[in-house]
Amino acid sequence: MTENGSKNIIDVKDLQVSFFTDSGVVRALNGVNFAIPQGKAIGVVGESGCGKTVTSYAVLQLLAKTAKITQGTIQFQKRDGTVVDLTQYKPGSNEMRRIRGGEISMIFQEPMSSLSPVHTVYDQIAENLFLHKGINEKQARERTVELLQLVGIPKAAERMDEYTFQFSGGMRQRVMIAMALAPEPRVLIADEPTTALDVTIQAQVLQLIKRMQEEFNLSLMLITHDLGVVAHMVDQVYVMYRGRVVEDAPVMEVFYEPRHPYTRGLLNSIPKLRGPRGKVASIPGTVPDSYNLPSGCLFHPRCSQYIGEVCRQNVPQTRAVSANHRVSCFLYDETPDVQKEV
Amino acid sequence: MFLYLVNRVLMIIPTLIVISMISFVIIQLPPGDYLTTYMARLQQSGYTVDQSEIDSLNRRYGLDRPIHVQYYRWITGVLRGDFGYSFDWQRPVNQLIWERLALTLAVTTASLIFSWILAFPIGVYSAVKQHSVGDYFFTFLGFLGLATPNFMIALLLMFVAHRYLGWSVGGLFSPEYMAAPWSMGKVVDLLKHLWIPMVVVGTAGTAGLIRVMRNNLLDELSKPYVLTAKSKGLKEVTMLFKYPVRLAIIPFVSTVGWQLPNLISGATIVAVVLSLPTAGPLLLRALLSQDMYLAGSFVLLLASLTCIGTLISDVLLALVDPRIRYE
Repeated sequence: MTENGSKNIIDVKDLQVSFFTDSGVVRALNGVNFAIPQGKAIGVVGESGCGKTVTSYAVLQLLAKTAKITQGTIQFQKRDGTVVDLTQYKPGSNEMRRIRGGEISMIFQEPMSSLSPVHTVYDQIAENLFLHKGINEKQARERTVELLQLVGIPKAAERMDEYTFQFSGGMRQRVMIAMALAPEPRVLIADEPTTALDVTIQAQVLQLIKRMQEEFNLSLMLITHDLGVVAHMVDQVYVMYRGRVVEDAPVMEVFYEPRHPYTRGLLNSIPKLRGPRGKVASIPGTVPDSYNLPSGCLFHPRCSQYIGEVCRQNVPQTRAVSANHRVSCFLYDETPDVQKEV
Repeated sequence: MFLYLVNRVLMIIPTLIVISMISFVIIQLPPGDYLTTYMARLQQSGYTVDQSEIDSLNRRYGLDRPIHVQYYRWITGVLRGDFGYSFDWQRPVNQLIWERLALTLAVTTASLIFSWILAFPIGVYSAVKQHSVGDYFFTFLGFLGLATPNFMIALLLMFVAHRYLGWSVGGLFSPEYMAAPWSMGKVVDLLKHLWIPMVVVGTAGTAGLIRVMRNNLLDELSKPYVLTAKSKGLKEVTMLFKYPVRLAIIPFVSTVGWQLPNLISGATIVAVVLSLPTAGPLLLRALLSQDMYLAGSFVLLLASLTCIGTLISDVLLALVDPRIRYE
C-alpha cells in the first residue's frame, strides 16, 4: 500500500478483531489497514469505540481474553531485520514478550491508574531494564536517573525512590514515558497520552513525546480522539470509524483537503477561535450499536452526504485520491454504481 | 511513621480503661451475684447456710461494697497482674486463664494458617480462571463450607475418626496425657488431636477468605496498571504476583487484626462439641454462673486483644501500602 513497503516497521493488513461475549459477537475491527514507516509518526483518530485502542492492543497481543484476531496480518520488522507476523505468536510466548516492551512500548491514557501505587518509580522502570537489558542493580539505578532526567523530572536521583502517588499527573506521564523508553524500543504506541492531563500539561507532554521520537528515531503511533493533538505530531493520519479506517492522508491534507464526510464532521466539531460565534458543530447520531451494525457503509446513517441506496447496500472500497491519500467512500467512486440513486 | 505508632499506642490506654469499666458494670447488671447463686445451690442440696458464713464470704470477696470500690479493687489487682479469684473454680483467675489461652492459641493459630494456606492459592486461581470449571468447583465447595455449621462438621469428623480410624477424638489430649506434665509424647498427642478443630474451625474461614481473595483480585485484574505491566513483556505469573496479587492482599491484611479476639471467643460452640479445653467454653461457663472476676478478666482480655489486633493490622497495612504510610 505504501510505495516503499519494506521500510514499514509495522504493516497491518485487513485486521479483524471480534469480542466473543455472552450477549453475542462484537466485531470491533472490520479489516483495518495501516502502516508505520520506520522513524515516522502516524496518528489514529476517531470517536470512542471506533477501535483505536483495540488496534493498538491487537498489535501488542494485549487483547482481553474474550477478544480474538479473526483475520489479517501484522507484519513487524524486528531489530535484526527479519519480518514476522505478530498474529502468529501466542500472547504469552517468549517471542511475543521480547517484542512487547523490548521493541514496541506503550504509553497509556491514565497516568494515575496505569502505574502501580505500591511500587516505587525506580522499581517500575528498572523492571523494564532487567527484563530487556539484563543489567545489574547499580547500572539500573544510574540508567533510571538518566531516563528520568531525559523526560524532565527534577531531582531525579531522589525522586526515583518515591511512589507514583507523590507525583503530579503530568510528572506521572513523564515517568510513564521514561518507563516506555527504558528498554530502547523502536516503536512507541501512545494511547491518548494526554487525555487525562490539564491542557497546559498536554502540550508539554506532547512536545516531550515528539522530542523523544526524533531523538531516538522512534516510529510512533499516536492514538487520540482529538484531531488537534495530531497536527504537529504526526506525518500520516488514519481516521477510523467503527472498526475501519475510512480515510488516511498526510496530516496537512487531512486538515485542508478532507475527503470523507466523517473526517469533515470531525474537523467541523473542533471549536474555532476565529469566525462566527455559534454552537460547536457535531456529527448527528452516535457510533452505532456494536451488536447491530448498519449495512453497507457503516457511516451512512449519520452521513451528511448520503447519496442513496449504494451507501446502504454496499461496502465502499478503499481508493487512492492522491499519492498518500486514501478514502473509503462512494463519493469518490467512478464506477457507474453511484448512479443507482433513488 | 514513628509518631503515628506512638499515637496509636497511647490511644489504646483510654480505650481500655473505658472498656474495663463498661464490662465490669455489664457483668454486675444481672440481679444477684455469684454468692446468691452459690447459696441457692447449697440450700437446694439440703445444706443450711448460716448467715455469718455468708457475711464473711461477702466481706472476703468485697461483694458488700459499692460497685466502684469493687471495680477499683479489681482493676488495681489487674495492674499488678492479679485478675482476682474465680468463685466457681475456687482458684485464682490467673491460673485458669493462661493454660487455656495457650491451648486456644494453638488451635486458632493452626486453623488460621490452615485456612490461609488453602484460601490464598484457591482465591488466586478462581480469580485468574474466572468462570472456569475449577472456579465453579471451588466456589461450590466454598459456599458449602460457608453454609455448613461448624459443629456439624465437628460431629462428622469425630464420628469418622473414631469409627473408622479408631482414634481417640474430642478434647486436645488422650486420657493418659490429660494430667501429665509436658513431654514430647504429650506434644505429639496434642498434634494428633489438633487437626479436627483445625479443619473444623478452618473450613468456614477458608470459604469466606476464598471469596474475599477472589473478589479482591478480580477488582485488581481489571485495573490499567495490569495492562501496563503486561505491556512490559513480563511473564504472566511474574506479573500476576508482583502487581495485582500484591495489591489484592492489602484488604486481606486488615482482617488479621480481627482474628486476635477470636483466639478467645471464637469457635466456642465447636469447642463445646469437641470438649476442647480452650478459652471459649470457660468464658461461657463464667458468664452463666456469674463468676464475675473470671468473666470480667475475659472481657478485658478480649478488649485488649481487639485493640492490639487493630494496631497490628494498622501497622501491617502501613507496611504493605505506601499510600497509607505517606499520608
